[in-house]
Amino acid sequence: MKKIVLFTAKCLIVCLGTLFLLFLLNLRYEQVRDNPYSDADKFFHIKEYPDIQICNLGSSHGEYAFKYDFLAYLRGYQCFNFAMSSQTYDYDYAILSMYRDSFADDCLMFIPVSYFSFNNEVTNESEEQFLTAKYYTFLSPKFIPHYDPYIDIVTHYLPILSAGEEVVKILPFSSLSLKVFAAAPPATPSPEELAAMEAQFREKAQNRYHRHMDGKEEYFLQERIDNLNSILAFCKENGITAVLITTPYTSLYSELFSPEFKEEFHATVETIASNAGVPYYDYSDDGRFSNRLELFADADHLNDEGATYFMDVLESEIPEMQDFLLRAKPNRTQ
Amino acid sequence: MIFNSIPFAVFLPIIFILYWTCPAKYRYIFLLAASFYFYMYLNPKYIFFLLGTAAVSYLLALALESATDISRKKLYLFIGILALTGVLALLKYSNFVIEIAGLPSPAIQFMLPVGISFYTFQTLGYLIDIYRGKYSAERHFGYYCLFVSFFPQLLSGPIGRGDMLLPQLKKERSFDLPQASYGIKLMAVGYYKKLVVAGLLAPTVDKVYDNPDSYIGLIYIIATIMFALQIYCDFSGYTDIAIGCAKLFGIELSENFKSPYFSRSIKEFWSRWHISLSTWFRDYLYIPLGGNRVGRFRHCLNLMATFLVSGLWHGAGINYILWGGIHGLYQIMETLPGRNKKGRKGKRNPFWNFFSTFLTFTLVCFAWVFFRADNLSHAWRIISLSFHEIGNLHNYMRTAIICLDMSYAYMIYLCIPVLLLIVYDYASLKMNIITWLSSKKPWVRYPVYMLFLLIILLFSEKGVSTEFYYFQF
Repeated sequence: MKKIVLFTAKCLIVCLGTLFLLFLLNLRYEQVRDNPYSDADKFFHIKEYPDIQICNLGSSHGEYAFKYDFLAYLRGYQCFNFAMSSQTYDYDYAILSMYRDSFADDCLMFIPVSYFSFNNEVTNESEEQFLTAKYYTFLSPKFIPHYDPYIDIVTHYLPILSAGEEVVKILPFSSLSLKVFAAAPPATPSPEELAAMEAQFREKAQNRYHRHMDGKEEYFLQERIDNLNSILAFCKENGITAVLITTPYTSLYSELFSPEFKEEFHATVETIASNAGVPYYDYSDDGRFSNRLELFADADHLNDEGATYFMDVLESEIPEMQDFLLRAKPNRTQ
Repeated sequence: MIFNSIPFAVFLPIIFILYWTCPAKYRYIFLLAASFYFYMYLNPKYIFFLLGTAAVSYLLALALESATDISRKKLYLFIGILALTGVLALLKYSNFVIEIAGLPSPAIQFMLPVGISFYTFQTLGYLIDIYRGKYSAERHFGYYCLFVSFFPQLLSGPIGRGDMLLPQLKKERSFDLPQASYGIKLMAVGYYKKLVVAGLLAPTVDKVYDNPDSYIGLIYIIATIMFALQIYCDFSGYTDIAIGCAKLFGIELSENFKSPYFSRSIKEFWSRWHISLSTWFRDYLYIPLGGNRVGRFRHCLNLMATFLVSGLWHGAGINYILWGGIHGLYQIMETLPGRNKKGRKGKRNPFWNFFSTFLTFTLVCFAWVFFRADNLSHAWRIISLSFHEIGNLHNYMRTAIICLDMSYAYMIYLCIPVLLLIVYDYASLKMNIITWLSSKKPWVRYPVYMLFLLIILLFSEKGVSTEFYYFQF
């Protein structure tokens, strides 16, 4: 028995010593690393928004389409963009639950409904793990869907464990993390390059379409519909005015979807909207956007200019937003 | 349960403590229950195949031993071989045969229990040994079941022999600190090979071999060398973990790998690669066929037959059979007159040693192409276009580097563990590194252990849990 205790003690000493060294290296790594979850950094500033008045949820479509510079800086409303790349409704709900005390009583919330919203945009397990990991940096474990302590340890507490080749940055020659054949920085586009833009967008649209549609037999998953219903119920309980919205896409992207799919999509969204008593606005095929590639960053994401224009359109067309702007006083104190 | 999983990291320490605190005479029951749990964790239904194999071979071994008549013994052995290989053939090869014959797919798809190729061969070897009267049949079903299902070796070997393993399982032993200490260090080496080296190489290998039409030239050679290292680290890593794990319970399993890529001939390679399987084929197939004690032509046939069966054992596919056939052909070529003489002459010449090691590695890599490629047309593309545009050396290399799409950081990240492995394997030819390190002062060896664990933690792939490559066989 004595020998077993001795053996166990020796193993523990080595393990604890290794963990101590790991902890020290992790401190160094946190100083030198590039944060892979930088899009989640905005949540570390959410305390600066104690009474959010206008906000949106959603995936990258929402992230790119809602630009609150004018409403926030010039008109003084507290606005927050909760959207992040490939964010699904269950994570939207998790975020709402976590920050339930941050919303003003008369808050207006845009809930984007994209063509892929009722399925899983990401089907690759490693990409899903990467996208999920960012929520561990700011959400409490109790709010994270399918919380896994292992992911929490390797991404949040000891990020050096998930650093991969980035771990060499802790070495003195860390500047070697350049590509062997680094691509040249993009120059100002020539007319030929501009002409090639449409071809590029078309190709990206095809890629996005395949990512969203391939290998998915049953597209409108009940689980996702239930997630969206939970969000709408949350809004109702907390006095938040919810607005369902489909953001603009280029025609290159939206024309890839069949009329049958679009019909089913609209029927699904409209059923959800009418059941919850919330409005739904569809800008996916809006001619003011769909044929103007200069308003887009790619086939289905608005660029800064497009987002600014989109916000103007919303302000002039959406009655809920107009009502809100008439009755709500800006919360900005500075 | 797989060795590189969190459940196993919890399972092993608990089983270890409980095993050694359990009264010695009941330890086998405990180890048997642990082994069943380990196996059922993957799929509870698998246990029926394991128990069926154990029960059939146990009863036939007793019948074989009690039979006095040689024809009856032969009959029992025949039944045993038929029953055990029949189940294996049905589960593993039926789809392949149907595909080859061009028949429509059956309505029922059989599941292939993990490790069945290994424990079927272990029980087959046991039956043949009993038939030959090499040792007595085990009468205690509990011990026999443990022999078949001992969890460290259950999924991917090493394929055990009854005379080596059964006495150990029955022996009441006390805890041996140096043995356990060696075991845990060997496990760490195994994890290093599997999680660090094989894990790092796998994405590049998969990228090239899963889409060979997208690449051309040197990248094929790089990916093939990477695959050679990946499969070695994957499988020998598993074996090291298995052997080390068994040592924690005071059981010695047979060695399975001895730095095979430093072999100077294909014959030597097979004496260093998957030793438990190659010796199994030697003892139970090659020698019964007549081995080398027959005419030259028959000897060549024996070699070829053994390697073709070895290829088929690895997988139900033409590419695996071809891989076995290529190795059979290599072996036949090595038996050609004058070939051995040269080899012996060159033994003391360092240049010849280097050249023959390089040549052997190249030949082994060539055969791996067939093993890894999805089909023969992919394999042919890889072989025929590996030297495409080699005349323009700069472009030939540049294209490969662009295709690899690696940063300097990733290259460093990849090269450090691979170089460490090569140094470890080369040094292992001269001495036992673990024993050598264990003899050093604590202030020397403990930091080395910690550094090694740190390398495993930092360099291993922790995103998605990957199964061991050899499980599919």
